[in-house]
Amino acid sequence: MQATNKYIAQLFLAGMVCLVSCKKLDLTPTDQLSTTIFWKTASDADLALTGLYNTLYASSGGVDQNAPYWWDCFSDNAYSQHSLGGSQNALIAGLTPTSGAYQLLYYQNGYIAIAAVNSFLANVGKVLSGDKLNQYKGEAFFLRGFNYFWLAQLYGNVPIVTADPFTISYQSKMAKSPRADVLKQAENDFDSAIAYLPDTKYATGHAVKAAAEGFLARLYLFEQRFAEAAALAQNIITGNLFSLNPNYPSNFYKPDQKSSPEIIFSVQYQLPAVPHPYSLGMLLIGPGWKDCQGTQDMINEYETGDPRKTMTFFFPGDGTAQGWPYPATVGTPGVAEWVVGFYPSKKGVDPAVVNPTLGLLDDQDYVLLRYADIKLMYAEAQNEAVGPDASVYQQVNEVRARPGVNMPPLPAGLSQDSMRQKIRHERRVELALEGLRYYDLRRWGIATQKLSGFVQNPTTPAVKTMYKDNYEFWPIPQTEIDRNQPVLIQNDGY
Amino acid sequence: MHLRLLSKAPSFRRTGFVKTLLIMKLTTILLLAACLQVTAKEGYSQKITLARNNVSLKAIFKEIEKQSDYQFFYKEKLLKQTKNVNIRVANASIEEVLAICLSDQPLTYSLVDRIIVIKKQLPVLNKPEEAIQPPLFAVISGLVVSDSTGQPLSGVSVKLKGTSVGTYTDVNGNFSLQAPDGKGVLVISSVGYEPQEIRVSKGGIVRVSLKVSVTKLAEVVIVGYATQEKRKLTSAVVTVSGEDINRRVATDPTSLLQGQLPGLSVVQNSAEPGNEDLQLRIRGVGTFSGAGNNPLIIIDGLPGNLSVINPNDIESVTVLKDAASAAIYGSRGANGVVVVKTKRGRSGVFALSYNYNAGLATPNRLPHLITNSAEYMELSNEAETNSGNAPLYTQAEIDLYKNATDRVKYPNHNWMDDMFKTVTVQNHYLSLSGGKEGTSYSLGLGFTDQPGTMLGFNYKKYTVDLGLTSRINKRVTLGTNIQLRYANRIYPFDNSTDLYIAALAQSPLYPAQTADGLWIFKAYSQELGNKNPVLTAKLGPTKNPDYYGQGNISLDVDILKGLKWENRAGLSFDVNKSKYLIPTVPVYFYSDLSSAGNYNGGSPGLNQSENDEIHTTIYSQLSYKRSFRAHNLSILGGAQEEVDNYSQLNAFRTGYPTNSLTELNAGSANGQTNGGTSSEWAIQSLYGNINYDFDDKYLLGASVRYDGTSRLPKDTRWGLFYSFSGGWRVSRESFLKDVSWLNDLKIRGSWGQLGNQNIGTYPYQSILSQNNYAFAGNVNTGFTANTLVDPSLTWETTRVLDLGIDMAALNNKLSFSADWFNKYTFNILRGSQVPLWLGLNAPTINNGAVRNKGFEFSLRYQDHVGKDFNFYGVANFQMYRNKLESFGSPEYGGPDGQTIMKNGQPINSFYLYVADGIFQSQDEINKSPDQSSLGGVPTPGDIKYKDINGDGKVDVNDRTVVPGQYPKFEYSYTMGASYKGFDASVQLYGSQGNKIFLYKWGTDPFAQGAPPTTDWRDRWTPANPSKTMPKIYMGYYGYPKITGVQSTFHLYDASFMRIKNIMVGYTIPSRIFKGSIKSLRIYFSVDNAALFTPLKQGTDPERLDINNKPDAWYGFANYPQNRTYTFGASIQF
Repeated sequence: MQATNKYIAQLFLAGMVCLVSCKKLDLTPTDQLSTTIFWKTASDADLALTGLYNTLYASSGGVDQNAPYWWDCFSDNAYSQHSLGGSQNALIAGLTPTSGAYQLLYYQNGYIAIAAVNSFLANVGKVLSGDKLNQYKGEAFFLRGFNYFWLAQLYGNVPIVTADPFTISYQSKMAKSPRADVLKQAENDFDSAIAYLPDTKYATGHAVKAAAEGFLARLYLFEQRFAEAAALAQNIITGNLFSLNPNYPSNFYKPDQKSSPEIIFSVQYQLPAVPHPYSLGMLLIGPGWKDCQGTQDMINEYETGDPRKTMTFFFPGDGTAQGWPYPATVGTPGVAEWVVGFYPSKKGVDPAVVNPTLGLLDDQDYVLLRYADIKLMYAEAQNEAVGPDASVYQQVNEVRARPGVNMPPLPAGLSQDSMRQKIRHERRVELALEGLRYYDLRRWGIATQKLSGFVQNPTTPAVKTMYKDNYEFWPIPQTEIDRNQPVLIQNDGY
Repeated sequence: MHLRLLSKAPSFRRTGFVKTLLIMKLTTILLLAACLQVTAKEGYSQKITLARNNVSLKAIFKEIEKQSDYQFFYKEKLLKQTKNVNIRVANASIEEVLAICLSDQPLTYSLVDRIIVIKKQLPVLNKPEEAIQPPLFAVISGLVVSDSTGQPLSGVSVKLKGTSVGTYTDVNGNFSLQAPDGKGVLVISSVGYEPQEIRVSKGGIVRVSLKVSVTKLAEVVIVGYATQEKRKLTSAVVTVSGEDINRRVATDPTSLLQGQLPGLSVVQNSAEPGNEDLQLRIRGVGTFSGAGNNPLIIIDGLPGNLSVINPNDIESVTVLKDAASAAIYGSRGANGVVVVKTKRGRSGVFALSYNYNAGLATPNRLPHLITNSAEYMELSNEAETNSGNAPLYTQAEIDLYKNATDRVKYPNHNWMDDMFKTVTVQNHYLSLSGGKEGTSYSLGLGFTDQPGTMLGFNYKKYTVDLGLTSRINKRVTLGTNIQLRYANRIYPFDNSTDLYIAALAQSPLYPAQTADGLWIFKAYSQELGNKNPVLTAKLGPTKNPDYYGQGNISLDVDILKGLKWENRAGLSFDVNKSKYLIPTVPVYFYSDLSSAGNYNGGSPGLNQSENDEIHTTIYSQLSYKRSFRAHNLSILGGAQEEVDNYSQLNAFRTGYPTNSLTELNAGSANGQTNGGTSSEWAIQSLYGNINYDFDDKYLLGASVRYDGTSRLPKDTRWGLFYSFSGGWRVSRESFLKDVSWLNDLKIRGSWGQLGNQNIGTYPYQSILSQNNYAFAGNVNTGFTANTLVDPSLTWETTRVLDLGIDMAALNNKLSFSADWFNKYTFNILRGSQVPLWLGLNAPTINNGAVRNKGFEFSLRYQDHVGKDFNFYGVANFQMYRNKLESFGSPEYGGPDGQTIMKNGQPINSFYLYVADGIFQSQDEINKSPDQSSLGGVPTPGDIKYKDINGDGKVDVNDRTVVPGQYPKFEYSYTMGASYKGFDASVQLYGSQGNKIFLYKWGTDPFAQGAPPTTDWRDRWTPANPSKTMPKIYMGYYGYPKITGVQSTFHLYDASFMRIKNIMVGYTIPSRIFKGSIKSLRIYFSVDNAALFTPLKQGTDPERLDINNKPDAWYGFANYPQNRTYTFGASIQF
């Protein structure tokens, strides 16, 4: 009895001591890095810079935001039968402030990237200095300009944020700035990037000076500042760091694209660690998918004999010789999701793929800017600014005459407007499925004409696409309007 | 202790304290004597030996008291006039001794049960035999015990009938009072026991056994960290016995709680074996935060998991609903607490019992689909055309099916027949219990074999429950309770809902497999469809073994009388493994058996994961219970610590050469992925509770808890939670004493506040998110600071005001209990609404408030007719109203934005366009508000939507809040009867006024090709101008005018009343077995016997709502509920 009591007393004491001191309540996650120990060494700048580029992988509505294919499904070029990215629904039903994930996410993703850049710019000076600091800042400016340009093209009037987000109260509200100011911000960012970035070939995935110049040229075109656009494009051309790839399709799949002299900027992937979330081979031509198929209108755009037609699309009856990856069956519309009247994409599909099936992994880089585009941008800008002079002919003809394509030169003596139409044609076929058509149509002022009431599928004439003039400025997501009431006002017409 | 006795007995008053001591001593000895009499009927030798000269009487009396258990009562004054005596006796009787002592003295005596009262000798009259005895006060003392347990009962009222003399028993059940002349009738009464009257003629000692009354008032209820008599409760607590919940048969005890406890809502979402998706809600939905609405589950004193227990192992389940009862659980009690007690053995009785039952389960309420292929094809073409698409089938193809004689090649295939079947569910349960010499034990072994009614599901569960208690010595008790479960769940690699929609999406034109084993994708390549569900179920099973154990060890010490020290340490662990292979299987088109590539169920390969969680709890507490006459006090205080550790690993490989190799190593290293992490949280607490009552009439209680959690920042991590409660047992008041029909009436109220911190593991810590980028083939690691944190984060708090009434009447045959509550949750832990331009993830902050007000009651009546026929009925009712009082700007929820969070409305209210009939003509369209922004220009046969704001057009501003997210009220009714060996019971359960949103596969026609339900035969066509059904269309986003417009067209009234269970049983009289078997009961039960609901759709109206169901995106599809016919037997040896 005595012994038991003694034992119990000991237990009691032990228990009490344990209860007050056994376990610390200061617990920290074991698999994540805390902000308190970041921005201490130069290598933190590398980690943070990688984090900035990671924003290029942003996803919206089930597809990669920067995968160019889906933007063509917003235009008369292609048809997304599964409405990936919500494109098809928006094309048919129209845009609203609550249209869907894609309409929210393109906006949201832009600001996530901008916030990361702003935070980066506020801190990188703590651990770097000199040239290295400038180069890192240059890349950050490039990415911020890239995102502001995106927002300006789509939504137009949006808030401009350049401060470190961690210094801003999350309860604050902000009005939108006019599109001109947003574009000015993007222009300034590209200018800073041009000043800081190395003037080299594009090799490592990091932005180079030509990328910033190229995007700025695109911005100038958007603003119809043609002389400046032409000057910038010419600057890249005379810099002589880039050239047309003698094998046009190899710009779009690995490993060939890695050595392409034509690519100026791309979003890069690498197997096995960083594959596409959904394999392009599957989404574009795999069984169950065959999304993003070219329209008849797109196919009709090709001139007779233009080899880019068969380099870009599959056609009925295609077999292995034409790159159709199914050895057993000949490509047949109406079979296995090949929609009758449409043409599956070949661009981006690795010709080495056989029988693509679920589980296929691929890692093609998404090409966002290539040299042919620079040349065509020069031609367009120069034609608008000066007229169809010899340099305009030269740039367009060089694209047409690129090895493997060998299209004849443009006829001489074109008027400025005829040249304009030729350039627009050339852009559509050269850059098909590269995500530029929707923006081109809008900046040319012909989006309503082309996209309102467009019948994608001749067998369903009742189904027409919808485009209204005010789509020039997409609606700002309703969530953002709600959270910034009353200072943030919706764009007109929504 | 006996002050009252003394004040009432002036004739015995001696000189103050000494006398008191004497009487106390006397009482003790009397009681001891009583006990001895009861137990052994042997005591001291009553013979006296004395040899003394010239000693005082007082000294002699003392000596006699020493030698025997006789006791003397006398006034000092009396002895002063006496002479000393000489005495010399050996082994004399008391009478002999007293005769010697009192001879020649002016004294006499009376002797009653070894009490000797010395009195004055009265003058001798002429007729001494007629001597008048003066009125005398005699002591009556005794012991009151419980009839059933034999344990002493404290606080029992003992009164002398017709007088003001009365007392209460002390903690040991003893009482003592004086009756004039030692005569009268004692009335012994205590709540919860049948009152008893005992006639006493000449004082003395009595032993009273009180019978437990039929009412449950005396029931002891488990409340936080302690037990309390039900009649003394001042908080909202309801309890149900294991016996009551086991009237039904189910494998998960959670489902057995449905309708049993007013205030507790149990929603069973499906009948998927081992994954019934049961949702428990106590008094509504209190919060919209990630902290959740799940109540805390306490098993044998420690947090645990209810689903793992075998229902047969449960002794009782108690629900703590208000702040007063839950406050002792502080930061974990905001959503209420479910306290489960498992069985322990009872000393002295060895019991062995075995239960077996087998049930036939059939799926209930499947959709009625059009399975005639030709009709399907024609309707499909009509729907495609209506939706602006080309028809899928040519007339030639339709004719093949229409005119076919070969129904193998051109079948009318019903996929529901492939996917659903009747199965047999079996349960075995063996239990042993008993005890000896202070040690008692119980052991329960259970086995459940539960195949699924849907193809591809199976569940096997083995449970062990061990309870052990041992009294090490007089003061120390050691105990343990252990529950172990091994469960193996097999289900197709995708979830049941995905499998179900895959089945619904198959057209009737083809079977799953040809006779020679080719798997079919679809009939024609242009058809829509989904993966082959039969193939998925048969070739892609997930093996999901789960090892769960929870156990605790307890050490209770009785330090002093009433003072107890209790310790409990427990641990629960859960190891969950999961492995599935998505197979690579060639599939074919049925029309020409050409290749359709490979099975399209997802990236082929092996997925394997394993996670484990270990949760430890330890607490130590002191409790003290004391009664001072009518004052009863109990105090409790303790400290607790909980630590939770979780870790997880997963891996994937693809490139398997065959489907029969199902280990990671057999796959290709190329494309392999893996991941893993771990996390930890801890909470420390101090808690206390005090209960006081006066005379069992005025009751007061208070609880407090002080919690510190690792989930909150240092400065705000400690939170104080508390509650106060009071009760008034009106029936104890004198003015209700004579109301004979009323047995008990109590009014009670409570107020308190509770916390919730159950959000994220590290919500206040600023964490960088890890990511990567592939720079020219080199994958670099990156970090981004993208999350805001609020460094002043603190607890989410819930305040509850509860008013209640408990009543028992008509000789305890009728009992009634009702509660009204007002539950207010504020400082809700939520992701802040940050502007998107900020570009950062929202911080978790304290913001927002929700109020739930409600009412619930329970009514029970039981009676008997004659000796053999007993019956009872219990009705429960509950209702609550939920309101979002502070939220911020509205937010939309639901898979397609069907719900809204908006100030002033219930949480997640439906927010929909209102369907207002069908457009019958172009003329009607022209005259109606323009609704072309809703998916396009309408045509006759389309749904007409209401212009709510009256601006002449129907657009995004015409959505409106539609009530129906929560039931108006829920109710249940159970009744039963027994006659001799027969017993029968019926349970009803119902819910009124809630609605469900059903769309896509199973409701919308041709969603991914899904066959329409047969009611689409009544669709709108020019020839059949239906006013309720639109023209047929392509579901699943294929017809934006309907599939892109979330409207009341898809909202259905899901009120229902279910005959949850009907059971009849017969207990075979034990005499038949001549002692070898104590009892044998056989029974037959029908579960889910009938369902009454206005819902016409082929699905069960009982299901989780659209914002709580993880797979609500699938809309209609939900693993169907079962109807089960069970036959069972239970034998006790």
